[in-house]
Amino acid sequence: MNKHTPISIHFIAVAVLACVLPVALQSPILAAEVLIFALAAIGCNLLLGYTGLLPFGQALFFGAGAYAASLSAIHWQSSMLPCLLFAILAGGLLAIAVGYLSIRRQGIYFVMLTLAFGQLGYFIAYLAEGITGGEDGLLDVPRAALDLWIVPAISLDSDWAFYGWVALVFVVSFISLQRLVDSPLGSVLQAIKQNEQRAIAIGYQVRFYKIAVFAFSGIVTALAGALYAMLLNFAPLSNIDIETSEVIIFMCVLGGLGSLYGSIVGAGVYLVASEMLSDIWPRWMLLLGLLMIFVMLFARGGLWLGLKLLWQGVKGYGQDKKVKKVEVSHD
Amino acid sequence: MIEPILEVKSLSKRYGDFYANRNVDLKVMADTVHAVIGPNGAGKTTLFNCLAGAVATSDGHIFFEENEITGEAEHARPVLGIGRSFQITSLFPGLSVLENLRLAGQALKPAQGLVFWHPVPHDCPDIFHAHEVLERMGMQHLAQKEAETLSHGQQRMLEIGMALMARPRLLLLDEPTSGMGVDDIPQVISLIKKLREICTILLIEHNVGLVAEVCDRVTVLQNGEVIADGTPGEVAANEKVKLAYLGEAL
Amino acid sequence: MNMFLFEVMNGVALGMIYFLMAAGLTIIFGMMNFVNFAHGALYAVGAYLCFQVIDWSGNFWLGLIVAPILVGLLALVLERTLIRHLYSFDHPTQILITMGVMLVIREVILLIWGTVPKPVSPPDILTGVMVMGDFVYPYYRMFVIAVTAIIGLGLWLMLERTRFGIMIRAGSENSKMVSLLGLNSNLLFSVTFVLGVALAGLGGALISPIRGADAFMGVEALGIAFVVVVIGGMGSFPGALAGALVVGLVQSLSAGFWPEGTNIMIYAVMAMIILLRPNGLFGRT
Ligand SMILES: Nc1ncnc2c1ncn2[C@@H]1O[C@H](COP(=O)(O)OP(=O)(O)O)[C@@H](O)[C@H]1O
Ligand SMILES: [Mg+2]
Repeated sequence: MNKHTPISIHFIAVAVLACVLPVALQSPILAAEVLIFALAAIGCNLLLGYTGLLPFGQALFFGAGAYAASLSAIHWQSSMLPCLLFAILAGGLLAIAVGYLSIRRQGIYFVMLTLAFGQLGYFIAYLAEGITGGEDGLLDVPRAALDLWIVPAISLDSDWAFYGWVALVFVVSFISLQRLVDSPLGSVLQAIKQNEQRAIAIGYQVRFYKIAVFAFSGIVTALAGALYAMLLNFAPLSNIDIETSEVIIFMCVLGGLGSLYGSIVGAGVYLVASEMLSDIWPRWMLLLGLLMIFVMLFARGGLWLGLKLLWQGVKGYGQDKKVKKVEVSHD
Repeated sequence: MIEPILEVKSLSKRYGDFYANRNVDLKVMADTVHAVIGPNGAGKTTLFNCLAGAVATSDGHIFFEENEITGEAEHARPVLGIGRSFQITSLFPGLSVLENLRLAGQALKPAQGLVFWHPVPHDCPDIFHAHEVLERMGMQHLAQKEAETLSHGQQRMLEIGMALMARPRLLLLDEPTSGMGVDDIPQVISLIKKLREICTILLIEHNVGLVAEVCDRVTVLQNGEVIADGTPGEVAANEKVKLAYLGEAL
Repeated sequence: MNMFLFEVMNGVALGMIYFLMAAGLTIIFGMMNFVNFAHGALYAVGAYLCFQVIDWSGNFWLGLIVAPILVGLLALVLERTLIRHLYSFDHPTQILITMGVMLVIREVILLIWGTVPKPVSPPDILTGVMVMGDFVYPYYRMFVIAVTAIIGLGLWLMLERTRFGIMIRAGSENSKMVSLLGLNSNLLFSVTFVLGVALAGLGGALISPIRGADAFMGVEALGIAFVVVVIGGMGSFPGALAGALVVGLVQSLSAGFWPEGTNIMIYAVMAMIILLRPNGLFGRT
């Protein structure tokens, strides 16, 4: 879908997807997981796919969101919205701090800075046992009820109810971020990605925009982390480790850089593959590695581009047939 | 109305012990076309980088319309009224020609770049202005093409067009004809003649014909220093200048 | 006091392994401006190949010599088929592609050798400990320090004294220089990559009797190696040595009183160096 696709079309597309997904996967839990990681991959895509920055510490925001939401649910019995608000605040502020420092350097140095901050966060969480539960993580995180104050609070304890909530958050976030990438701000990010030097020369204060996109990325990633903790009833330390950062990057790249839909596909394929393949063929990550190399070398659009081409092919094939039929009828 | 729009006072730029510019003095009068010439490596691009704020000066002062701008950030200078083009074409290659120009226009209104809640409008003033610029360059039919698909000559024109989007009062053109075939050069000359009606132009150029035809004044750099300054005729007759270019030819 | 000496020696041994990793990374980066995230996986391959050769031949020395050579051959194949096409790409792209390579290598290791790490025992003459008064230290670790010191010295001599070394240094300082001098940069790049990766392979082989061979051993090692290279200065060979020793010593010495804090310190120091001294302690400014 290109830049000019109206927002209503985007809305219909993701709303339909959110309805079909749990049925197709036959599991509201797996479906929730897909949407949650799609949000995290989208957070990465904003930086990598849209701005050209490779962040190696996204797990920090994911973990921060998980801890913030879990802590407020455990200690203050907060309802759902305040929990997510705390997560967003934690992720956004952390991302602004990390972004502010990391964007002072380029290339490998930028990557190493984000990695270093991610690792610092990991070891701090590991040491702060009293707050984060250290190695054990935070156990018994309740799924906070949805309390809108005007109607009685809605319990999200059942998996289907929780999926419904995740789907709602996902659709709202997706639409907002699709708007963002189509907006004037999004166009500046494109400019930075394409040619940073020229973007500065024509008058953009590039550092400021980079920090802004970090903030958005941190917010949506933290939101994903918060929902994930409530899905699992558990905020493990591993949320915040390098491997989580890597998985988020894999999903983002695999699905396709520069397309929010790609991130859904990337998260979906990764999670479904690991769910189904790891029993049949535990070495499926071999294919993932090969696919990464292929995508980066030949098809930055990733699986999403593949799907689009396939669709065009099917359409084109159909049209070919029609044309042939017409010819036949002429005879 | 003859007064300097740009005044450079003993500007130096050092890289380690090496002076890329040394004690450069330069006055560019309003509504003129002023050329900076000199052999390769003379420090012309470095001077432009200092004027545009892309590199920090080591010493000296730059005044634009009588205000000191020496320490202004690079991104602030288009807003002040200084636009620049690059010697090595520097576009947003994957974006359309129109989008390249629109982005350059939008950059002047920082608050607009922060809008993240609605799409880029189809009929904003920047797009209107971008079409105007394209028309001035005779490139309207290329508006929707991606910048990287343009020919070299067209890319060079777009390079200038992006600088124009800032409606600059001072336009810095770094070798606008670099890499162009002889056939394309008249187009650049006629563009510069049109542009001098709306802004002051400071340009770096190797093409002698172009300099002689459109420039009012010429400053010659060699090894980072100004060795001559005057009308094209005066400069052409200058012994030091002849020697500098002879040195290059040898 | 002897406990202290013991930790210092451990730090040096660890540091010297890091040095092998980091030296390889840094000459590859310096020469080709290439960031190799598959370096850690190739280090693991070195450990496994060492295990395999010992398993077949029963000879540790054969394993130690053959493993890095085989890793070098693997590097040659990789360079010829894939890596050489990546030199002109930006760092994020190089990183993402070599992450893919890392995954492939790791999974192939798991396919061949299974998921259980393989133990490697040192040769008989290097088992046991050296006793000097009341100072006790394993022979094998002494051996590691000695071997890496010799290799480091050899590398240094090669870089300083041979034509090839001069080319590498010229290339690390200014990649344009190589082509300006009319050198065959394709060949030079291949040799540099193979040499750098073989050093990682040697590191893996050397550490296998201490830590065993483990498919995931490269993850931590890669992180540390990058920290070392950044601290020392990307592209700087003496920087790699100094950085490696600093990191190894800090890790060993703080293991006594604040083991969990070690990593915090290492990453904090790296972040500070990138922000305050982006060319590292030994890089040119
Ligand atoms: N970033 C830099 N670091 C070191 N030297 C530089 C740098 N930029 C330019 N120079 C040197 O400054 C001199 C002038 O370069 P430049 O201004 O590009 O010349 P011109 O545009 O007149 O051909 C050249 O010798 C060039 O090598
Ligand atoms: Mg120049």
